[in-house]
Amino acid sequence: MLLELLTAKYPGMRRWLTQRLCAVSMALVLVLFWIRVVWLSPQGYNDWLAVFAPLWWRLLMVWFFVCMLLHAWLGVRDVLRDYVPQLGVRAGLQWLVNLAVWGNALAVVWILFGMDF
Amino acid sequence: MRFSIYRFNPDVDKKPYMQDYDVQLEDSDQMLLDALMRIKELDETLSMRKSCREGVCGSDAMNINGKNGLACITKLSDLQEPVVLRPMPGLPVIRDLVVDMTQFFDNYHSVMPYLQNHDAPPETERLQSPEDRAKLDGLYECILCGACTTSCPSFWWNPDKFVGPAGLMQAYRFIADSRDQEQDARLENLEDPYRLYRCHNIMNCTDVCPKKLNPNAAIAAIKDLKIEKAKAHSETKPGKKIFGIKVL
Repeated sequence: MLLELLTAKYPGMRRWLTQRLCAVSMALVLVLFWIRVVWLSPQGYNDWLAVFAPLWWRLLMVWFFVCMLLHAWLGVRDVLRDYVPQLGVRAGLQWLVNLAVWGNALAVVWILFGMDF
Repeated sequence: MRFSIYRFNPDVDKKPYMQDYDVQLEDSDQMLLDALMRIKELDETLSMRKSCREGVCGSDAMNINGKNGLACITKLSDLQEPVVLRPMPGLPVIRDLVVDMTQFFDNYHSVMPYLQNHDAPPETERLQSPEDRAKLDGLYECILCGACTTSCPSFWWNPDKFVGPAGLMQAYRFIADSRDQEQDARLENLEDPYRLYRCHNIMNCTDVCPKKLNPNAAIAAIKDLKIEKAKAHSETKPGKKIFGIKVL
């Protein structure tokens, strides 16, 4: 049911709902993050590595950043559409935003899976 | 009392300017509209709308010290000097404080702000339960002054696409009406990325409403109702299932 609401059949609702679902996901993951950090109480670099060592936790962090970047991308896209009427300028700015989003996404994956845990 | 008022006469002026007025007020001048009438005695070229003088007609909506409101129910004692008066933002200025509200009313009409019931009319009236009638409280009182809609940046940037808070609240006024039979069509009418969903809940509308209504809550209620309707629609039709979960 939920996935159907995110299809082209509901062009207005899907953008709005996607942003809200991302926000709820981020809030839940942040609560989990807080609980885990309080539970493990990392004191130094090696302790922090241990926090992020389990694969399921790193996948959860990837999910968090996917939600954050999608949430931000949808919001910034609306801002650009509202405030930048010139199509060329808007396309250029949107390109930069896309670049930043993908750059951040790759950096997150590189950090979480490229390090030696 | 000192006032700084936006002036623009397209027949004479190349661009708008602010004109200062120092006005000697009488004890009976309690509201901003009273002061504006004094100013008009000094300068009869100042153009503005007014009618009921008691916050019912919505004619004298304007931007008062940066915030939209009705001149007739704005107390002079609450205003900081110089009182800066501008026309409502986001609408074309016809002259001075008078704006062209055509777009505002086009958006209002686009939500079909009238009861649609296809049953034969009863002998007296279409009845409602007290509970159903109570759902319209906080909605029907809107006087269409435009203060909320012209406070909304989404309307400023997309006036022809985004309905605006006033229009959306009137849409919900009829969506929530138990006597109306076109709820589905009304919700469908708001399903595109702009008409309803361009509202980002910054609540300028609720902040400025001179009738203390809450357009933002009405907009949120429409969004909730649209999800409920879509869920109900999805659950009643056959769909493709993956691992026992209906996805399409």
